[in-house]
Amino acid sequence: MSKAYGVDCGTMFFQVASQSEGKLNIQTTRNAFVELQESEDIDEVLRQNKWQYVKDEDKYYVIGEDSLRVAKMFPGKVELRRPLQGGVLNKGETKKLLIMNELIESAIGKAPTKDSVVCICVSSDSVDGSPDSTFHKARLQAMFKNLGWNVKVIDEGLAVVLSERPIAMEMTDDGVEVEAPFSGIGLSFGAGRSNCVLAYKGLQIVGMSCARAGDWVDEKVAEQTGTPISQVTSLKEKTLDFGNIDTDDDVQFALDAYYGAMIKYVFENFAHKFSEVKSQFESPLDVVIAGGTSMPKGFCSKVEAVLADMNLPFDIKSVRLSSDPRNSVVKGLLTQALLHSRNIKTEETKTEEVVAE
Amino acid sequence: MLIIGNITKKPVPIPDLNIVFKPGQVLNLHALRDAKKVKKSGDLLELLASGQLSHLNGKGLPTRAQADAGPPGPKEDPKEALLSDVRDVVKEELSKVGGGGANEELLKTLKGIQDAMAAGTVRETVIVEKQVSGGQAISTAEDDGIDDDVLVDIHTKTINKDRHDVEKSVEYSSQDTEADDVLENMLELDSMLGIGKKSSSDGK
Repeated sequence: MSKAYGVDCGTMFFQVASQSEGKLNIQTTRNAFVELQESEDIDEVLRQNKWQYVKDEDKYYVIGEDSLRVAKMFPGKVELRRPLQGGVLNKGETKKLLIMNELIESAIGKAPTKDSVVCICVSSDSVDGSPDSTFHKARLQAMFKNLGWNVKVIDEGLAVVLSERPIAMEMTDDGVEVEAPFSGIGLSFGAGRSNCVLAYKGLQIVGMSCARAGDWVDEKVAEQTGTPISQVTSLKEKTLDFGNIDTDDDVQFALDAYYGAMIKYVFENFAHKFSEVKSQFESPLDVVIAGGTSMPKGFCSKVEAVLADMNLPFDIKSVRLSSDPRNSVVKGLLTQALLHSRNIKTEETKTEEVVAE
Repeated sequence: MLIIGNITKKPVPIPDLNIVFKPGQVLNLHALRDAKKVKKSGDLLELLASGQLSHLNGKGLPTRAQADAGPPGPKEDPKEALLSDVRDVVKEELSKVGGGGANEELLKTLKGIQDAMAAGTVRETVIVEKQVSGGQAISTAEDDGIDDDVLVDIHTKTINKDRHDVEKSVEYSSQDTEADDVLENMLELDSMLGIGKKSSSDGK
């Protein structure tokens, strides 16, 4: 039987979504690894700790969440490495393909049928000189094609739109106001990249990405406060609340400031893109937000506060955070994979009918 | 080195150098084309004069006298010229091996492009460029003029060269919920977009 998967190869997390008999399954692992030197008892250490690993020749690579545990256990001795950086395959990482291939194969394996589909996402065109997705996209497509999958690629921001279903209102010829679903702005604030797409009825009109995202905020705050980046990340993920910033705490104060700068930068650049295409959205737009960087409490209000001081070329109806921000992109990818799978089957049926005639 | 930037928000082609700048893109023209050819580019001269392109750094700009001297020699076979450009970049990358600065991945991809060109599967121009961003050189293989399927085939060959069986133990944290919203969204999109819609991004 044919299968359909949504796969989000993110800078921070690798996620796979599938559905079967009305149940949605999401598999997640941290997209990171550490290299361990070979030693006599390494097999035993791996077994005892039940660490996830990939062994290539004489090298062991501990992957996923376990890589973080190992990195914390041996600070300064093992380096936490990432297959992706800034939303694309990490140019400086020699083992990225080994790790990515094994993550992909372990999660979805070989395509069971010729019409099985995987939908992946890439960043939209970069507006700030960060690496474009051409190489990244082709390499990922090749990895999935190698396993026999049909590959559909969409922009990350569009995946948010397909998952969160923003609505714009439009007038019919008869002057009746009707809903246009899947129309609005989808934003994904990830670790390596922020992505933004304007869509109309599920079709992308314009998209853009920039390198100001979670990692950028962490780096800047660490730099300005002299705090180790791991502590900044931990505070951001566990305790940050934009509705309750302790202004005497330098890290919280800086996080608030840099989050604000990131949001402003993303919308300023998107406003330029929007003006370029001269879209004619007369009605106010829904803004739907997802991504790990949008998860601190009060993020949505923070966005609204930043937007209130900006002069944008479009009106905003509402700003809404996904009810499941971490999984929103991969759910949108699954939606597109199922749709694409359906289209392939319909095409096949049409072809069979023509042959039969 | 001759760094030129497109300061507009539109793509800007330099026809006589067969290069297209994306909006906001910065390129080292000497990494892409022979410096003599660049110096005789009348189109580059015009674009700089009109302000569509901007000279950011380096020497070797064309002058009116040189540009007026006509095209730089007999017209080359575009495929041969491209192959020569690719060879130059491969040579440049190889020369860095000693210094540890070679980009193995770019090298493999370039060799793949060379093979594909020799086999006649690349139909149009491929530009292998070096972008400069934030003081750091970023090498990217652009798909300007190259068929998406061919590009994916090149990458497939590169991946398969390195592929071998490994031992592994990989597990994921798994989360199960109702799939109602995903299925409802899919059905609604299906009825809106119409079945059989085809996208140019399809990988197969």
